Amino acid sequence: MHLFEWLFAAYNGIATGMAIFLVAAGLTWIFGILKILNMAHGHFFMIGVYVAFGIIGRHPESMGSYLLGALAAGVVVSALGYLTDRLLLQRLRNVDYHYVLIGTFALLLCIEGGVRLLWGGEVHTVDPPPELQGAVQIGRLFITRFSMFVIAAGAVVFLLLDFAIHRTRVGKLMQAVASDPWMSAMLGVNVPALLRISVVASFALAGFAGGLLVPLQTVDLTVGGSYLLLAFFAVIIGGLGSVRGAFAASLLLGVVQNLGNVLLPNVPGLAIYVALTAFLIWWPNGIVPPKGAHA
Amino acid sequence: MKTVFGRRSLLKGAGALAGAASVGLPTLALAQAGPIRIGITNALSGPNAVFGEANVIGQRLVVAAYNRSGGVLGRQVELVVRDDRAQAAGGTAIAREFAGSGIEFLAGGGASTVAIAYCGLVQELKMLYICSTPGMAITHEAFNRNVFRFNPNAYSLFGAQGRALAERYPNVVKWGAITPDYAFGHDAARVFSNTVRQYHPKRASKEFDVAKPVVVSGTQMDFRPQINSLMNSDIEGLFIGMPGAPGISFFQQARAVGLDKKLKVMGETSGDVALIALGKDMPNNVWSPVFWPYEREPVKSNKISQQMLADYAVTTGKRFPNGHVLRGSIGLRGLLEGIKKAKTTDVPSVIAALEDISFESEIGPYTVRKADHAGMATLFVGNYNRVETEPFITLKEVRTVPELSVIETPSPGKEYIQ
Amino acid sequence: MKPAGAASRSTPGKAVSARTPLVLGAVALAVVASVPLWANPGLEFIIGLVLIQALFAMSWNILFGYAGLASFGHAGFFAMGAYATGALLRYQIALPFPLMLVLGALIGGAAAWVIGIVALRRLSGIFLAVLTVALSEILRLVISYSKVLGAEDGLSNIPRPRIDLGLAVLDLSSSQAYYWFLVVTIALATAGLWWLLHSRYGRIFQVIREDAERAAFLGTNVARYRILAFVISGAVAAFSGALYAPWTRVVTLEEVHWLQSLQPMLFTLLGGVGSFWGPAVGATVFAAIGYYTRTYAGLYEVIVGGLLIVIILVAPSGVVGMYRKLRARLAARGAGGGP
Repeated sequence: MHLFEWLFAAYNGIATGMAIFLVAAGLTWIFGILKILNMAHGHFFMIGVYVAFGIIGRHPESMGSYLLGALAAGVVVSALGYLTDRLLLQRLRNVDYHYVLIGTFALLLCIEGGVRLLWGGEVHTVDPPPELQGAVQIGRLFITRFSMFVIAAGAVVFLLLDFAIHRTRVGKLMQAVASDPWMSAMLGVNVPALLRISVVASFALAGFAGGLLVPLQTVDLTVGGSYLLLAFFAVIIGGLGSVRGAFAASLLLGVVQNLGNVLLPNVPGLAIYVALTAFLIWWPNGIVPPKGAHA
Repeated sequence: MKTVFGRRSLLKGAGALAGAASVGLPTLALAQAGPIRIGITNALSGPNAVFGEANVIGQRLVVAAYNRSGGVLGRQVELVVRDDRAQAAGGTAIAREFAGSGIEFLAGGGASTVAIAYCGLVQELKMLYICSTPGMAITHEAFNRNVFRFNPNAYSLFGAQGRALAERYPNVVKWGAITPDYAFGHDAARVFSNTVRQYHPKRASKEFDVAKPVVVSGTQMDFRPQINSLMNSDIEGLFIGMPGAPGISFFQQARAVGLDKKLKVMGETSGDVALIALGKDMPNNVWSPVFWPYEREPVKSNKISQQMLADYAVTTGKRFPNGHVLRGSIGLRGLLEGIKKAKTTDVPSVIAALEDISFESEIGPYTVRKADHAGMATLFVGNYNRVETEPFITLKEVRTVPELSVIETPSPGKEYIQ
Repeated sequence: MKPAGAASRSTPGKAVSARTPLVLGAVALAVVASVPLWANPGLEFIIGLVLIQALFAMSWNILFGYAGLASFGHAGFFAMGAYATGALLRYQIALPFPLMLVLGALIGGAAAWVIGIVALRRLSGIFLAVLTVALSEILRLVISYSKVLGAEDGLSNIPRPRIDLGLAVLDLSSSQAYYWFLVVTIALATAGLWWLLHSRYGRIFQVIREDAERAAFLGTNVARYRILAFVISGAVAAFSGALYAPWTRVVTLEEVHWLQSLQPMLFTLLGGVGSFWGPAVGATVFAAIGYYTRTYAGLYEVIVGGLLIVIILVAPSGVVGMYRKLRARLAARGAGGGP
């Protein structure tokens, strides 16, 4: 095992982690506000992927059209998310969370069936825009421009979210609502409006992430499931509702997955489950535990 | 790739036919004058649906052709087609239902697990099974006399590829493989590596080396670390064992860092069905199995192939069938020829007739090896190149390898170790 | 279940009486037992599967409906039992079949015990659920590397057992024979579960589910009863898996996939969470949907998903819940003098 393999695994782990974070951010946020763990989140991400693919096609012409595709994906998915909230999630607000999980799983099935009917089951690939194609060689590491962009995008999204949540008025109100909706309502906060904004924001994030990450892997029906699992783990490990925790956990998971493949090449894919199990046993409430957590 | 035989018409056809296969009530044994019924299952939904649907189209076209010229033994042939979703449990239920309604012939199987499950069942159900998956166990550990394999397995396919590439690229002396961590992946990479070692003209020289295959998880879609390692190695010829979407991901990621330019030649497992998804990202020098090279001699002049092409165009409105159509059609053609040869539909007699049958197929003469019921013909290894215009892919060269020269020695009932 | 109303006998023409569930149950059992006499082997096979899945779902509901714990990796226990009997039969290990079944159940129970000891003290709710998923995935990976268990290809060609009773041999090779064996065994297991969950233990589980803190204050050893529920649940799940292997004669990694873990949840939700029979009802309904849509490739997911959403919005207490409401409404109408 050479040093460059470790270094590359670490780098790729960070890039993977950023991608996971882009998906996990919306998931943990919606949990923090609505106390709903949305199993269909990965599939909303997938809708974003397909919408962006529909707009920019296989070979986007420029950075501009690529970003526009991602934004459009965010808008479409946020609209769908709003509808979903009105029609379904609203009714599940005060119900046992098991029902929520099963209900959102049902949503996952419907989305998967719907996407298959609309786009078919074939596999597609999308290039990064020309400005982000190609790679640079640093020593023995071949680093693609697009992976650098993903890392930058993940960091930017995190900083913006963190700023919005902890430094703006709206963000602080949202934290209050997440912490104690009854009290917030008593104090005159327009709780339903904030809830709605949060829901829309969470889905918009999912869709936007889909559009951003579309050149990262093939466009097909498995995309929803694979990202969901990792995002799920990141949210759990990071502490439900904490964006900072999700950020740290996503990076950790990305690195563990990549290092695991280097360390145990004959048992690919095992490391992450072992790590998750170990983590759950020692830190059951996550890196940043939810306030007043008894699980 | 929606066809007229697309999901909806397949559904209607399947629905009508399945309706005929009684729902929940035992049928009386049909009189000998009724149609010959063959039960087909395949993956008609889910990620493998492209291949499953192609198989079924091939099967339907063959049956239609035989029915047009009077059927078999004076009886029309009827297909009962169902979706097994590539799952053994579902397939098992369907097979039992077929058996319960008097169907004696089973074909297809949407995944290796389904095919292997069928192997374990058909003696109990007294059915004859024609397999169409490339798993090796079918003619080894899972083998029994009621099972026939009428399409090449991983061993033949990638043994042929290894041999073809070793002979075609005598100056490429450093070889390697990357493959997924399940039976098909291991088998394919191992046999490729072994045949390169066996046939390469410079195999005795010091620089010649075939590296141990790099194993990746079966569901992995991110190969960047492995690609990075390949960029740092001296490997010039690479075998890629991941089929379908992971394989496409690999090519996409490889292109991003220029691995496709560094490598002199690549071999892969899926063929043009998958490669076409890459569009402009099509790498330049990739070799794949070609199941049906209908635009090249000798297949181009083959009358049966021409008929199939014509029928395909008429039924689907398209001119360029997916090679997997043949993986369905040859098996069924063999079965019908076997019934004709046996002059009866009695299963033991058909088995005996099939064991040493030889018939004309779309790709030339097809024979069955009695020891392990393995069917053989000619294998084609195709070189796909990149071009500047849609669809960005073209078949540049085809090498022919007689299957008999690369097929494994028979070991029915036992695992094949090499 | 309490009688619908003591007034049943004095109100002639009343639609629903206390005996209805018993009558329904007896009819259902008779129908189920008679299946091999009239059904196509394919249908018989599926009904056998429904019986097994119903037991599996009931095992899950011990945890969820009664003890208030969600296991999202229950397929792991099922697979343990299935691979246990599958391998023992396939490699013709000389053990009496009933002992193989018990062994399968014990393996599941033992695994549940270990997980319970380690995890249940610190985790519950969503964390326990995720842990069970992770463990189930690890089991799947381990099996996929095990040649003895068939690895990726699965364990196929599993022979059906013959039980040597000393005086006679019970040959379960035919589908009919094994089907009746399934009916008898699952009926007995269900009866055992019914007894357990309507006994003191069942009540303690429910108390812990409703308010664990208060239960602890009242002196109940919450952790111990939770572990007990987990062990029983795991053992019964493994037992249902043990019955499964000789029925299908093939066990693959699909049995330990996370989608398989979702089945008992879906069945229970559809059938009705707060009831003993909910999982069985749900299993039947799902199987019916699957059976009637089996000729339509690809529609299954959308139908199931849509149905689940409807259920959650309209009838969260499932089919059994609707039945109970209907009964209550009819009883109220009867007692109130009727139209």
